[in-house]
Amino acid sequence: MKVIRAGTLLTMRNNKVLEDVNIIIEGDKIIEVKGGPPPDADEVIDARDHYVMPSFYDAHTHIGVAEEGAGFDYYDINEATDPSTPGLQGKDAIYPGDIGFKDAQAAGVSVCITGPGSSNVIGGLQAVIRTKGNTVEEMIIKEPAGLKMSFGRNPQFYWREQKKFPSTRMGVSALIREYFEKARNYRKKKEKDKTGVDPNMEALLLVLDRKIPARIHVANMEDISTIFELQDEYNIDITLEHVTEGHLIVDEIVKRDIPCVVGPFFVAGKSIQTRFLTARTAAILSEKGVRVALMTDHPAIPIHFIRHQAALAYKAGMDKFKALEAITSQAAEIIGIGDQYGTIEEGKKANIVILSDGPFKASSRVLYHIMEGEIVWKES
Amino acid sequence: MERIIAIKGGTVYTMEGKVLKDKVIVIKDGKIKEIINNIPENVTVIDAQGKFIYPGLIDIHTHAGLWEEGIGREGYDGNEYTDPVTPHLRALDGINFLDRGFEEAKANGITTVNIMPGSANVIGGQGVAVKTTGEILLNPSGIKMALGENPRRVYRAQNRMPSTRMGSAFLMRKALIETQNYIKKKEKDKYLFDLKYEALSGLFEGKYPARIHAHRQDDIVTAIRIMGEFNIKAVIEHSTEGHLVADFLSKKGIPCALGPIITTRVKQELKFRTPETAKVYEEKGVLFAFTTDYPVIPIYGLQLSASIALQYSLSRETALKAITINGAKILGLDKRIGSIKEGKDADIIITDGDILEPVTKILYTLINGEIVYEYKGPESLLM
Repeated sequence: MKVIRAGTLLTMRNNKVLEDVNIIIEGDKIIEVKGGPPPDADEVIDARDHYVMPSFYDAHTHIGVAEEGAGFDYYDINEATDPSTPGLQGKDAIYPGDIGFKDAQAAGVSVCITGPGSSNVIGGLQAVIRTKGNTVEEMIIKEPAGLKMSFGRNPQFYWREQKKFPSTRMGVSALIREYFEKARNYRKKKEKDKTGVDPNMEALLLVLDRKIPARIHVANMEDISTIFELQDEYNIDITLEHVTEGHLIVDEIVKRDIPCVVGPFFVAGKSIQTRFLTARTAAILSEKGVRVALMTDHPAIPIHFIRHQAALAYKAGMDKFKALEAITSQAAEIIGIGDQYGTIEEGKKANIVILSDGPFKASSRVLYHIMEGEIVWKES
Repeated sequence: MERIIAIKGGTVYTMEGKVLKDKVIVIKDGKIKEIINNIPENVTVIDAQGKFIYPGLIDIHTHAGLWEEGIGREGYDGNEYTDPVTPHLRALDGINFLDRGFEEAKANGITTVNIMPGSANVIGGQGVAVKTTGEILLNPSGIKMALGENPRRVYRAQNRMPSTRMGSAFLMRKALIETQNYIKKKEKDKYLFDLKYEALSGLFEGKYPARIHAHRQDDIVTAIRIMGEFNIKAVIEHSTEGHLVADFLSKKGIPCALGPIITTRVKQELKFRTPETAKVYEEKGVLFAFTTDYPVIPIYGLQLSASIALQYSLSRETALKAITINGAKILGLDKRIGSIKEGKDADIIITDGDILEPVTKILYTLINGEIVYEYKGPESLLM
């Protein structure tokens, strides 16, 4: 049993902040949060002068797949030989030795989603992983956790350069319809004939059967509208990723109650696609009631700066708690593990950070990072 | 009647070793006239009570207006990919001063930027230091050069030299030797004129330094070695692995543009990028200024870089210097900009809190005493 004596506890549930409480951890779980003197325990961590909150969740990364510091040969996220590769699985390409994981541990990021990039219209399957482990098997929390799809400039320009289909927005949506129709036919055939199993079609069926959401890279308004049409046609669950122009089409997103993973901010210069990029997007969506998580898109922005993504969203007008939820509880919800992760409450996994000061303070350091009950980082 | 502006109250970080409280900064003819206790008569007052006041921020390594924002390839003018040695190019000739980057700079408190060609070429061309209103401060501000991955990647793809680090160093050295020959020949032949060698001659005359893009420690040392052979002043740009050779940098007295420290490490040469470099420079006495390499990261990343370095034990004082006065010194413009001092340009920002906090907003940006940005609610943020 471990006990954390928390000075200020941000539970990240219903804006609840508790002062001077004990978080009691048994194994990998939080079994109780209560006031009073601390119970006897194997280990008592004194955080009475500090801030305690759930550790961080990054709802959109390519960590381990696009390895950092190894050069472009190891930038392994885009199987850009075919615009539709639903059967690819991110988990097959995660390098546990990626320096990003060490940084994640030191920065208090416990969990993230990772997988294919955005060159392909249908990219492949994603995995939700812990940021610690020697094998992918130890790291995986949930997979497949989504099917990566991509709209707009990235797939369009990529295939245009190769003089291949699809090179226009019309081509992108036509290709998706073609594949979804193929998958529907495949399902019918499979009922009669079991000898034709096709991993690409199986991946698409996961989406059509609403077992996993399509997580869709999108920047521009017209693409968001197209995605909504496809959602109606195929009755699928979706999340919108990046959503650069989301603030310009917010009412439609609100009406459909679509989760949005916004960002990253402080990313490299704007293309035409991202000409309206602003840290305001998260604030505007959130204010209207959209469920918002934030991202680093690691390695676009290194994963250890997820906390600064929230700080910037707050600076740009997002509610302070909403901004923190976007990298904790709401992020865990949107990546599909909110039932067990993301808040500090009884029964939840003990994913906790102890910060030397408030989470948005410049000098606030991660003193402890506890992942499923284990201390994975302690400031020396 | 000429306008006199007085900024009243607040906490003033002069960057001259003093923090002043509740004073009045009087601005006349675009310059800081005096810092006094009471508001003079017939002046326009900016009330800064309870606010924080700093000199305008300086980013000494950007490509503002050269890589334009939001218009795609039509706006990419930073690298002349056709020749690895192009000292005769001038960044000034490629800058679109209507680029949104300059608006973003002003909105985020940056009042001076040094703009240089990119790093595809071993010798890229001439930089220019400008106010973010477009006023030219210094042209050329130096000759941009580059070692490491970028030139060898670009020219390897074209099957030309340099395709190795040795090739880059050779071309750099060769151009400098040829310039020495040119200078000697010119003594006898007054009609001799070559744009490339003319540009490089300035290095030998000490008019401006070589500003050399180098990430890895071996590239940093190579740059310093080559410039040392010719007795040319060097500034290391990026200096990502500078913490590994900080003693060397300190001993040689080489200033560094540091950053971006908060960017991706997809390139191999960025593997050891860490915000800790700033702290090591502070300990070892290396003169450095943070940079965003804008638009590699947004210009508001300058404030954020200083903020993040605090988490890695950099002192507040050095963090502030590294976005203000140090940049002015490295550009050789510290007589005009970089601190709040009588006689200096009235480039001043007013913020709603400690600028080293990531959530602090810029309320006013003044350049030459004119308000060039004013915060009017979150909609007016450019970030």
